[in-house]
Amino acid sequence: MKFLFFILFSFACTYATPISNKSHKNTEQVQMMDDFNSEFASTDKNDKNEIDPLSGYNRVMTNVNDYFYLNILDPVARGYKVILPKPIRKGVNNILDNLAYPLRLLNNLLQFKFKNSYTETQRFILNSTIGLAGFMDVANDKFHIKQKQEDFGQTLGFYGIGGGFYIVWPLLGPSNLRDTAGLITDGLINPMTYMKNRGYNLLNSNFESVAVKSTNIINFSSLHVGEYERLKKDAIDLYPFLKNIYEQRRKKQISE
Amino acid sequence: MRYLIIGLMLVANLFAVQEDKIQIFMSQNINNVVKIIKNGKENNISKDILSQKIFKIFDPVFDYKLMARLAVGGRVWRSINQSQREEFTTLFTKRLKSSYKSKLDMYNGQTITVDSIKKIKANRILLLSELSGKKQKYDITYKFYKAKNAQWYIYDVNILGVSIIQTYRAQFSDELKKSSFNELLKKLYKKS
Repeated sequence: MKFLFFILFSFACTYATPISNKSHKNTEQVQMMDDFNSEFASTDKNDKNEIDPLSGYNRVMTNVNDYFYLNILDPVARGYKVILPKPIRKGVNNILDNLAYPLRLLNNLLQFKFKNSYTETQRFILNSTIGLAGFMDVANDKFHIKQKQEDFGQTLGFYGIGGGFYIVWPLLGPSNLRDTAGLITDGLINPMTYMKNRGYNLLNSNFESVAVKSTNIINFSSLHVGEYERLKKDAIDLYPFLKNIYEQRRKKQISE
Repeated sequence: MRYLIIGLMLVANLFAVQEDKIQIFMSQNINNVVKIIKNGKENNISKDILSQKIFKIFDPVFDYKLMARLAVGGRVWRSINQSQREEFTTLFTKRLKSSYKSKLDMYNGQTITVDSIKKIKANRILLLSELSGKKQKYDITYKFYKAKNAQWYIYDVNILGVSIIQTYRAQFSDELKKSSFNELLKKLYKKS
């Protein structure tokens, strides 16, 4: 019992705050709130991020994409998920991921991330050989070598280019001026873009190349079923919610 | 000896956290929470009971009042009256908790590790942790500030670099451009 009192007493002493005069306390509190307000200020009116010239269009497109996602892509992805077992869906995704290696390599190199470039190369060699042309992500599953995702939008951000205003693209979703330029450039590097009927490959027509690209999207969605709905649940208002998450997330990715 | 332990436990519960204890305190409590969730899943315990148990652990460290205040921002906070502030704080706290609760059933075997603490200012500490599943890893950062009573409280959480308070702030400021604070309260009431 003596111990108990002793401990309580000693803690009480530690936490006894000296009585200070009121005005001092107030300035301290004002200072503290100012600190907080500047920390969260980036969503305030006078901030550059608030320039949203396309807001009218963006809001409509956010709803269109939301409708498309929930009523078309999601049901299709769920059906696809029932038909194809997970290892196959994962494998398809892995192959396409593996093919996008030049894109990740280039963007890592452009940002002087030589260690990550090396990691990506290691992954590409391992997965293309023992991973059966990328079907299995052995680099991750067996050797625990994680992918180092970088895109051209991040590279531009790395060189100090700001995001510019926010744009919502049909089907592709949230983006901004900088990342749109990034998307186009990445598209030029990605081998998937050049997949069309050339007479000597497996594709019989350009229609089939579109089919392959759509399958890619459906396949990806089938591995992420329910994620969008779950995220959306946290929104009070979908447009500012997704816009803010996109901006914060990109800022973080660029800083990494 | 028994008294000593009881005494220590009592004291630990009485106060929030001291600076040098943040990491141990959070690791232990996060472990306890994971245990509660795991146990709950195995025994089919309802989410209401689970979340009550979890909030009992975390309520003393979260400064919900400050979080609510930060979510609307200083200018708005000064412009509303006391009863609006109180109603908003209650609704916002409820909203944060229900959002957490709805994520409980997503748990399937992930581990959470507390990596390190980073003191970025005299009165700010970041606790860096990681939620890792089979393939993906998520950074979770708990942001602490030092209150007047020299204790540390959480005022925001970043998931993958996305601040939760920031996302609410963006939505509230957007809403307040179009309508009044009372409208916002109504909307929040409907959603919580």
